[in-house]
Amino acid sequence: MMEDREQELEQFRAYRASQSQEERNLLVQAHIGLARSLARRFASRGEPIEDLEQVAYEGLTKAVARFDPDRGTSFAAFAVPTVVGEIKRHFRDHTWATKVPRAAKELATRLAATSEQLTITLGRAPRVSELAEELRVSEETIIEALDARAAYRPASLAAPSDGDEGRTLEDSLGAADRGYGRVDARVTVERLLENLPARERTILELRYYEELSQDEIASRVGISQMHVSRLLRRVLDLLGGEEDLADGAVLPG
Amino acid sequence: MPVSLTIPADPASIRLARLVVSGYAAQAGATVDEIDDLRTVVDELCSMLVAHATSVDDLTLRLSSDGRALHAFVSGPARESWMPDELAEGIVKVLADIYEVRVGDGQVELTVEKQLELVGT
Repeated sequence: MMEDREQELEQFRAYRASQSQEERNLLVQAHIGLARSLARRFASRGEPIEDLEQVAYEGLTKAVARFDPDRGTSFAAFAVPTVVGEIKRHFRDHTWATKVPRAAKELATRLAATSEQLTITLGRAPRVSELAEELRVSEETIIEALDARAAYRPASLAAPSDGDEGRTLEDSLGAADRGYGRVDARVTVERLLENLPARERTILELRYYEELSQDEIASRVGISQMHVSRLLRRVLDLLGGEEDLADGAVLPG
Repeated sequence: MPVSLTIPADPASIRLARLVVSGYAAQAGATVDEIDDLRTVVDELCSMLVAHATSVDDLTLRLSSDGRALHAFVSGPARESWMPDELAEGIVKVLADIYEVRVGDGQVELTVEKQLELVGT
């Protein structure tokens, strides 16, 4: 065990001295199991395992290039945070747009349809395991989707709105002609907000509740205006069919 | 309000622990990303104990939150051979803010704390 570790450190020293691509590849190959194993730990978060493995390999390659064998830690102890950090960054940067519809919207729709269809073929309501098999997702995902349906109840008009002391959704009803449509729109947005990552939620709130411009949001959140525009576009696409919103109509605050 | 759950120390039961931590973290105001992290953390903690447990053993999961952070505590019997798993520990250390191991009185106790982002407060 100790000899293995010493031998491994020697390989890293040799690579650091030579900077040879071949030696680096050998080191990456030697630890590919570690990267794969870490990628698998994140497989339940709704991203294809192949993508996660790819990201983990990139993280592993970075770790190999940066590891200092004379710092007194094992390579695994050094590589795990690097690889996990890389996987987490991947989730943060690439997945939110697909995660929302896939996890919350699409699955809820498919769940209802599949449940109905299985009830007919089985002559009884399906079990979670049967739904999971039919939809090719984990049982845990099904249980969560069933639970999430409860959160899709329309917000009560008389309940205080979040972060808006004493005000109720009812108070935000406008003139009779457009008011109801606006409340519908707001309820839709609130449902969507619940499922968004923190940053996207903040951006949407700044745009439609605080009515800030894209430039103002960009400087407040610390990203470019282009990026804000792209994120908003994607969120609005998720709303599908809510043309009023996509055209930039402002919601009652 | 703290919540505790006792489950058989087998891999299939870890799913219950994951579901409970998701629900609890959601109620505590955690973001979707934080919930994913906590679920992975609890999964790793339970797995570290299950790997050395026998079929008659139980694991206890306790969750609490003070609004700013969420605390998870998992305990199980300490078999002679119990050793923390390097990979699992590495993951837990990245995803949680504080990680502690205590072995004594025939028990292993693993504790984590994760700070919550507290959006909109």
